[in-house]
Amino acid sequence: MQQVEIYIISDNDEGVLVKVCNLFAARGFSIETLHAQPLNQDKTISSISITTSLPFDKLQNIKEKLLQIVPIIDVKIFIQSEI
Amino acid sequence: MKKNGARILLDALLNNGVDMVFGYPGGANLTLYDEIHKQTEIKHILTCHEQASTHAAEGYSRSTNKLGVVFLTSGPGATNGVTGIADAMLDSTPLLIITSQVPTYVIGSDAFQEADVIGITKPITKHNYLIKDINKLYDTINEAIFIATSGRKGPVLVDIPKDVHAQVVEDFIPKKLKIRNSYSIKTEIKTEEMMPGIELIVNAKKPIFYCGGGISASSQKTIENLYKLVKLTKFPITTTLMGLGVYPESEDESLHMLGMHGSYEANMAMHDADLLIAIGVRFDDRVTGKLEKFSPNSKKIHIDIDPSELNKNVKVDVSINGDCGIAIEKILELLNGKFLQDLSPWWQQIDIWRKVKCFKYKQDDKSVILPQFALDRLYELTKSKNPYFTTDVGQHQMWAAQYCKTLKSKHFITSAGLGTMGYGVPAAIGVQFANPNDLTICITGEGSFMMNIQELATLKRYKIPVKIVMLNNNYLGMVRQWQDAFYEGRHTEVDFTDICPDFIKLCDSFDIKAKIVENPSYLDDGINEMLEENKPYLLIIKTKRDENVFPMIAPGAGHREMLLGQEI
Repeated sequence: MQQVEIYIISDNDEGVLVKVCNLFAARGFSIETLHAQPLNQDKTISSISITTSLPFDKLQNIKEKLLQIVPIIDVKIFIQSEI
Repeated sequence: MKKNGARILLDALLNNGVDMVFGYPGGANLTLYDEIHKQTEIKHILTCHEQASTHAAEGYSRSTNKLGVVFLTSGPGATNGVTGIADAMLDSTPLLIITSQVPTYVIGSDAFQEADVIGITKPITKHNYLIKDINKLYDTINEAIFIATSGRKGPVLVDIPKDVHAQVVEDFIPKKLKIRNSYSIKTEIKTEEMMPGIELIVNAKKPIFYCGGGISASSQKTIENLYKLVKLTKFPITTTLMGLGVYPESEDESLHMLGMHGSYEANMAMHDADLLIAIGVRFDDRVTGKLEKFSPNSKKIHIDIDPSELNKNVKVDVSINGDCGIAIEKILELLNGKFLQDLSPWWQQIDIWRKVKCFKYKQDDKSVILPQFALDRLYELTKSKNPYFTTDVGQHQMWAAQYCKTLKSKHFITSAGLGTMGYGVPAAIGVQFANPNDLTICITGEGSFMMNIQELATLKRYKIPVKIVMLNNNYLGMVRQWQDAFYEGRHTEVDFTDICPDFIKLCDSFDIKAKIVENPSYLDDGINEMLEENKPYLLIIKTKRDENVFPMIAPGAGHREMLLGQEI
């Protein structure tokens, strides 16, 4: 398992956060910390940051699956340390 | 112009070329059905259960490449449709599901027929929307249709509350479609991306094409280009269950289907190959068997429109993200003038595997029909008409895939990913509506047939000439086969002898002709009689009770460990 930080930029649609959280829950991974906030004054764009532990070989797939969520614009995953 | 929400919805659908929808009315979508009553451009097909609406729309979509549209009501209407939506998700079928919701001012109050449809369908749709503002309705429908039909296709659900359907806009002016920036599809494949793959193709001595649903979902031009590519390279080609028909199975290069119940030659060739060219496939567990034993000595090229499929189950050497139509065109272009390796030793080896004749069977007994024989005869007697086959799920599905050779793409329509029993009859209804002049045959078993048996009423109402061929062994055959193979023959709840109704009487009450065939010598007459009828028809073929589907790769085994059955 790998300790990772995930940064997501998304259109501020309702339900994005649920979809993101569900993607982890459906695979049996729990999110350790979660922070979300709007990025501009009109509140049309949001950022979501997550820390969690994931198997190394699943990282790329999870990134692609996150990008598949229609309102999500960009995803970056940083590896913190190996557990 | 003054319009209400329901009319704006119909306008948006018409603007996108929709001329047929499947659905079921209810309390929350009364306004929508009132608008349907007032117009003639969109034909509405009423099924007898919401699940059947979604399957019918899938059949309509998969036989034509058009969008399938479903109208459902709130609460139970939507939850009944969930199986069909999940099925469309796993088979990447473009559907637009319009569910109606309780009025906005009671959402969240546990109102009558309220369910959190957006929450329920989130994991089984490509995207979903709840529309609370009528000014966003038109744009959202346009965007939903674009998302459903572009990239890797899939179901998109739009939930519209009852009051939004009824709300009136005084001066409605349709706007042009603007797609959000976050949804982008790769429309181009660069030559540099293709070159490592081309190098592998040029040097391959034991190559094989492994093609799937991605090509089935593609345009006719892609199918033609694939044909050209296979003829140019002379590489063998095997397809998944979803890809049946992308290359005519009558041609010499076709090794038929691969995987758990696939052909011996296809699985052995996959194992021994030195190059795998996987196009529009997802390395499903039913195809690969045990991953560690999957094609161990090959270089692998994977072309897929969905980047999350690349390197998901199997690590590949060259992964190309993009539309398989563009990729195949590029390969054809780049191979122009290049010399390929001599493949004659590879074909000699394949011919040795072919001699095993893994699909052979012996119809010796004069009193009982083997299911393989029944489908073999069905194929032989119908192949000149190029029928559309739909199937349910179970033993008959695998036998249909093995014996009803598919010569054209989009002609074998089956629930592959989700494996939904009860898919066949409603899907056949959708196929028949989309192709009114073609022969549509649903191959089913008694278990699957009874899951959506109410659709006989839809056949009765619309009098569409769907032919249903039921292989009746009074068992849930596939479950029984697994109980025999892996649970020491303890048969639990699989015997249907006491459950099955008198199908003849049942069909009689729906004004549908039905006939039972029990003897092999009357089989051809029974099939011909069915084909002559220009009405819905149920042909019940009583088959050998304990026949098993072979060849088979047991779960957890590799491609080389095929079980070929006792007689071979």
